[in-house]
Amino acid sequence: MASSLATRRRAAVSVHDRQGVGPRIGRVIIFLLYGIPLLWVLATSFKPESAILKNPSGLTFTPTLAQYRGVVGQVWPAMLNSLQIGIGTTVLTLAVAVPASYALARRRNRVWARIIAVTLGLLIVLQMVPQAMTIMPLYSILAQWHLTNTIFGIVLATSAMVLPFAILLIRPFFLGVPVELEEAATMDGASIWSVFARVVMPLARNGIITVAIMIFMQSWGELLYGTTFLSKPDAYPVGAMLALQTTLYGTEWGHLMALGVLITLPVLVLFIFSQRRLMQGMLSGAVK
Amino acid sequence: MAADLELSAPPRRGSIAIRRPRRRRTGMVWFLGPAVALLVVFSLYPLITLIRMAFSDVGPTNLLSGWHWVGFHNFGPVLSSAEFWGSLKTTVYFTAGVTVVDLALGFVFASWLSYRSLDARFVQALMVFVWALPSAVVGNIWRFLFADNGFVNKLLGEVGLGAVNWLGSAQLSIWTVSLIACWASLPLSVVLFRAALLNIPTELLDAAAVDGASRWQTRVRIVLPLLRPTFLILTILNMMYGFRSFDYIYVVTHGGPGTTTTTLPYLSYRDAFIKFDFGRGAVEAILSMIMVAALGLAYLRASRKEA
Amino acid sequence: MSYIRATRPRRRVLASVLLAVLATLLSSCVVTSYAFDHTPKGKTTIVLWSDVGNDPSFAQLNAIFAKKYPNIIVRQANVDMNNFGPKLVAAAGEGDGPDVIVGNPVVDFPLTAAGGAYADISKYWNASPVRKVYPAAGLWKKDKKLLELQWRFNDLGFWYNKTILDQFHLRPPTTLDELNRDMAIVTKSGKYKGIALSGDATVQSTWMFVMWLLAQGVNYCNIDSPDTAKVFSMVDGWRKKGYLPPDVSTLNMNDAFMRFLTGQYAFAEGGSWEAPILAQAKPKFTVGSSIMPAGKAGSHVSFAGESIAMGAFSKHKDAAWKYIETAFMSKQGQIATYQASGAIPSRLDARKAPEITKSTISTPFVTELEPQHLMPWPNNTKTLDAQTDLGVIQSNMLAGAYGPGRAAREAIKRIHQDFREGGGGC
Repeated sequence: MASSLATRRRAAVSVHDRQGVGPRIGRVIIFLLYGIPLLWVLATSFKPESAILKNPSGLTFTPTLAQYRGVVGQVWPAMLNSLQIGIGTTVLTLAVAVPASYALARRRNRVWARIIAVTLGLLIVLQMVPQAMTIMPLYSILAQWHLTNTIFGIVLATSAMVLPFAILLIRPFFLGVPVELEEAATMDGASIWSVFARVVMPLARNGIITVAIMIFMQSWGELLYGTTFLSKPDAYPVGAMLALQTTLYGTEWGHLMALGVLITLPVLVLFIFSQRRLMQGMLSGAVK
Repeated sequence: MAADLELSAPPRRGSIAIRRPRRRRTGMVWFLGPAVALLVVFSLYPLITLIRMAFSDVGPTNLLSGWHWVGFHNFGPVLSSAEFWGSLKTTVYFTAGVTVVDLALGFVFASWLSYRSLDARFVQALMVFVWALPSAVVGNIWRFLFADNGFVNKLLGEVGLGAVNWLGSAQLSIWTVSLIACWASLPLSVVLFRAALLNIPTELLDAAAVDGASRWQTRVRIVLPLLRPTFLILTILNMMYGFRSFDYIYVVTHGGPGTTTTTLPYLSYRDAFIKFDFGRGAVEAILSMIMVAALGLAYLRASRKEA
Repeated sequence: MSYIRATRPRRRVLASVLLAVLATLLSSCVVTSYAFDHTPKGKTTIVLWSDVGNDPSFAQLNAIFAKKYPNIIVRQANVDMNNFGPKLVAAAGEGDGPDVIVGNPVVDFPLTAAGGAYADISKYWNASPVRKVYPAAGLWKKDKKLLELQWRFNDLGFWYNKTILDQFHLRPPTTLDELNRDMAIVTKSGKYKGIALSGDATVQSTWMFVMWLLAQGVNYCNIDSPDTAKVFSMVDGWRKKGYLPPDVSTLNMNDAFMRFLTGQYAFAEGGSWEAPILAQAKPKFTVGSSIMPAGKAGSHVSFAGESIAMGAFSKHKDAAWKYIETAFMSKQGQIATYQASGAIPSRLDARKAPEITKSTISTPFVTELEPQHLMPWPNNTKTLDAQTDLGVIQSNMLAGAYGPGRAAREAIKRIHQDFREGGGGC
């Protein structure tokens, strides 16, 4: 089991660092593949609407801030709503997914092993339910609990949607935590909860943070629940803003691209911030 | 993100854990309870509704109540329609395209990016930015770029090649859409692969280097086997993603031209939400779910046997 | 396990900070009452749901209404058009919903009407003077209940690039034969293409495709006519001869008009709603419009456009009707709608207003709404299914997947099947 060894012993400097020309050229290729379309979005968001209509792929135009001016008024409240949805969903999902993943990573006995197998299978199936098909039943549940038109209702629905994904992704991190560590703590008299909270969770911390970021990204831009369970424009999230740029008679292309740039910026900031933190956490070697 | 993701860790076998003290059992129920409660209300209940819908005659007049149980009546027309089997084929193509490209390019790109240099980090940030872009934006970017008078064809023209009918050709469109889906989902594969690559202990690679193995020999003989768990989880994720493929189809092609990019999820959506034949849409959704579940199960069993 | 203890205080601080932030955010969102809900003292608030986004008409309509009824406040919620029907029906199922609804009945009436989202407005309508100047085609009824009124009509007309036509000394074609001839001339030069059509697999593209059938006297009800195959061959011939955008099978009706705006196409099919888009795009060529070229059955169109309805669960039905009648159905409101959106008024007297008759661009679209040109929608509950199926088939043909013969046969088979399921009537 060489790779379980691998998870424990990470080299601060990988042997890969002896890089030749190949990887550098490779990175230029990736940069072009991902950079050019993004530059195109950025360019389009500065393009006057008339130029987009006449020639969407044209690159000669007088840059304008009109598209940003057109959306900036609605985008701030929407971003605040999405922030609430994103944080709420991330916290709620993690709060239930982390213990559940742990429970599903430990086969205490045969019965529990069976429960794990059934639950995992069910999670895969639940993950497959088309989101559009859930609208009607969810609407009636939320309406009965007076949760339509509330951010909390969206948080509940979105959490349930991302929960199977979160559990399936967090579970391997707990599988990677050696049971011997838990046993040692139990010998010291620690309860199951404190073993979980003090020994296991810290070891899976990086995995949890990673999944947290993924959940946040997904719930931040969520579209369908945000547009169907909310009918007060003050409460609309960013996904609804995007959807509303397209009507039967045309799409506000410039607005759409400007919104795309604006609402992805916070995610980028989050990523850059967390990337550094993750790197530091890794190098300082909390796990030895 | 998460340069130290631990998805490369192999699943621990049960034998180690079975000798746990018995009193733990009840505790575990409490760990699982909240998740189960949330899922039962907000996930399982809609699933049950969907199943009931598949066995009922649901149209616009009785969407919310008054469903009549019709048994397997809805299944016949679906299973005997060329559209359903055509969509299944399209879905398989799409899934295969996404999975193969994501795994192959994911691994290659991750190899290029698994260095602790500033430019590697920058390029990865760029990819993650793309991953975070809403599908409505990504889909529309590529709709423009792949248009007949779009940027890609302009570029081909510059190098003296003819224009390609990327999205308008019946043969090509499904591959073009799966390329777009790959472009958007590759960052996830790359992040996971890169994390796994950085987790490989230096000693192993050093030993290989001492033995005189070339860079690519090392990669194929030593690195690839170590990444098995990552390949496994990404294959499953990609298969589920492929069979759920809806957003890019919806934004870019609406299932067209004709039915050439109509995957099962889109077919189900179209029948339920455009034609308002909800019973039929539910049947199609359920059949595609069963297929994925079977695929996933077969794959898991095969890989477990192998391990 | 010293490392655990070492990291704990920091984590605890972080966790409590996070919790505090979260509590504030979540509590604010539970407690916040949205400005949308706010009703000033002594006033009534009515809620409007619309699927046409930031349509510029609304500002003007609301100004007209506010002048007459300053005590009724209109709150507008724009709803994503793709979830519009399901959302209305889901709300109606819980006894909830807006007071006034702007929707697109051609695609959502079967669902929203059956889902009980609309109130019967017969009582208000029978007492309204608007009746006398309103076409029967604009009334949406189900089971003898009047559920929606067409607020504005959108029909398809024919657009041409006059700059190109002048180069070849051509006059705008009035018949399909002339159109075929002109496209051959224009494309022969190699500089231009024929017509910017749409051909993706959507209901909107079906609508555009059906106009060619209508010209030859074919519609959903007599789709088994021998002319069906001829029309399919004609349109597919355009593709083969290179008159159409090469990726026509991916274009929706807005994309198609954007191709026309590039100046490379002599002709386009499109609605009067393109007028504001033209004004915004300021193309470098001269644009003209006419009624659809006539086939052997003449020039025919079928209409679409937005309707106005009252929510079934409105608690302010009288106020809602005042809004409908004053803003949407008044002559002034109808003209304002035309000026902002380009759509044709439903009121017959508004169509005769100088603002509309003066505009040479709009005149053909008004003409097409007259009875000799306007084809009614088939009276069959599965019309939407038939449209969806035809959309897929014409798109398959335009992508080269089906030959025109197969496409015509499939269309006949599917439309028959759909209409039979819908009770067989037409």
